[in-house]
Amino acid sequence: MSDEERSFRASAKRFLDGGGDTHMQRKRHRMKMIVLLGTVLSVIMFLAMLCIGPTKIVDPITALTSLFSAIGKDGSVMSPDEILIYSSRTPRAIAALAVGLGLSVAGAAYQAVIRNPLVDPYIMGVSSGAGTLAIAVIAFDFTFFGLMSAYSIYLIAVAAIVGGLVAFLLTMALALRAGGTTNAYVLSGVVIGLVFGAAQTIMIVFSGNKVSNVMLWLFGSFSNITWEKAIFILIPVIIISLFIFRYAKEMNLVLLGEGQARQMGLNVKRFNAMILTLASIMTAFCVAFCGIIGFVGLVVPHLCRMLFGGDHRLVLPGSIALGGVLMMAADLAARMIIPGNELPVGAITTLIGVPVFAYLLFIRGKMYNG
Amino acid sequence: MDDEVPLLEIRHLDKIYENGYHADRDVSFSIPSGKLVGLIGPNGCGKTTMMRCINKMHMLTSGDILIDGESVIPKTPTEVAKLVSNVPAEMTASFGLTVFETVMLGRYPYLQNMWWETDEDETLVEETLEKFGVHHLQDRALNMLSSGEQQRVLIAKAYVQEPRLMLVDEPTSHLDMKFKLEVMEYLKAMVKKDMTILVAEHDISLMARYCDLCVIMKKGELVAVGEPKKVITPELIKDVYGVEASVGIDSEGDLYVLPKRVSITQ
Repeated sequence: MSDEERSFRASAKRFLDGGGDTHMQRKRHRMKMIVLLGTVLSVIMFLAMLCIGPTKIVDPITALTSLFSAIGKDGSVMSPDEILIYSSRTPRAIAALAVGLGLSVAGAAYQAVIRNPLVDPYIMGVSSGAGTLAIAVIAFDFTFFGLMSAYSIYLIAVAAIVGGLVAFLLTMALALRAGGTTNAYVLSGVVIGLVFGAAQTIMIVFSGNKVSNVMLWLFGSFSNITWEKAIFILIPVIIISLFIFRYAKEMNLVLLGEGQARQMGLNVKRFNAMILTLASIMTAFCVAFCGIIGFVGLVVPHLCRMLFGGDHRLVLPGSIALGGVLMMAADLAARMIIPGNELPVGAITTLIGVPVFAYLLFIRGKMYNG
Repeated sequence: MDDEVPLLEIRHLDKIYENGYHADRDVSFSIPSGKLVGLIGPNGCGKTTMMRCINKMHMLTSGDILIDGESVIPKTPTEVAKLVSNVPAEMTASFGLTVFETVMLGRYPYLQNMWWETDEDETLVEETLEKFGVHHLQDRALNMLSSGEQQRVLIAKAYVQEPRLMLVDEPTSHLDMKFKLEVMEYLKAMVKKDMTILVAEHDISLMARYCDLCVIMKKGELVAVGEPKKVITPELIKDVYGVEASVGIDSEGDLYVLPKRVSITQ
């Protein structure tokens, strides 16, 4: 490590920790910095999402005035700017924020409860279950046996949520029958995921000319997000994230293993089942409209561990703060890198994420040895 | 001493697992406060099961377990966690937590609705890290430590839980001779007037050297309770382990057990 790097890291640490004498003072200061930085960065990225797009780049003042005047209009005719900012870019920004945040918190929760740093929000089969039913809807006009209108904007979303939760419940049932150990969860998730993955492959083969629609959903995208859809994702994500955040201390405890956590007074089996269920519901909402966006849920929690330490009282707020910001940044990049062509946002999250993650792994990777 | 309430009293403990395995049969004994107690017996003699019944990891089938004269059975897990702490034989892999954070988790039962630990908690943890010689490692990741250091961290965590009774399951099973002795020294130094430590361990000589009392079990039944020099005899070793052994006293007056060769043909 060079001298510059060492002094840079020392000053970064001072910046995050403040001048606290005790561990707890430093952690409290870190928490404040996370809230502060998270808020500032989120506001900046949100504004950028409103201002920047392939059709037109507007200045922040115009963007905000268009947004607020459109909100005030309540249904009457909007100007082109208002339509662009209010109807298109704002819901898209909200959805990106919510999905990034939700996947990151879910990822952090899964990693803690399953005690495996390689776990991502899709480990319990949610993504493959969601994908299978979503493909059934997109390619074969599946309408839940006529229960839903073929034209409902919620059709794919409901299919994805139902499919995700069915796969999750199968995984849970299998894992609990197998003893409810962390390895049982991982293995069950993998095999259930494989079954649904095989079903997807078969359906894709027979999807004919709808294959591109299917692939678009599977790659993940924030195009076609409306206000209704954005709110539909945002509300459950916020509620579940805050609820999971309340259990940050318990997540630290379960890292020590089931026996230790139990003898400290925690009902581990119930706790694990609760957190896995909530995180899976949240993941299902995240994939409902936007498809499967990889990498964020795996990497953001680790980014937070490396930046703020492994205490979940900091990892979870860090994931809330950074998850949304990074997803908005990735979506912005997905729209802007090649003019006129929107790239799949999942590819962008991976392309941006890997170098950053590789660097952090390079300097902090030893914390995962063992 | 007889009219004092014993710290731990086990009354007619029976534990039968769901699969019908009878792990503990009518075990009764009591131990006073402030002792280092060795729990000795062959594999499968019911030591670990009994320890798990004491801290309510398992429910006992019948009998009662009293700490300071009060039954643990009606107590909540958090109440039990304030009375009994436990050091596992092996650390399961964890990631992301530092030594300091791991030891601080010992304060969890006392946190209740607080979000951050208090300054008093932090002082206690700092002092404990110092006491166990791991203060300089406090910002390291737990899984980067040697097994002897990890064991000390886990003992430190159990210590800051401020229990009346600490259960230590095979603390030295992965350690070499020097680390073994060090761990036993730390345990010995930790015993104080208001805390008893119950250690399950296979090395009888080590137990005899450090423990104030020995509890000896065989096939789920209690065989003997008493001072090591009084209870550990060649006859007892033969009875419990089916092994001939010479039991002697070394030049410093400590008891040692030297097992003889056994035949492996039936």
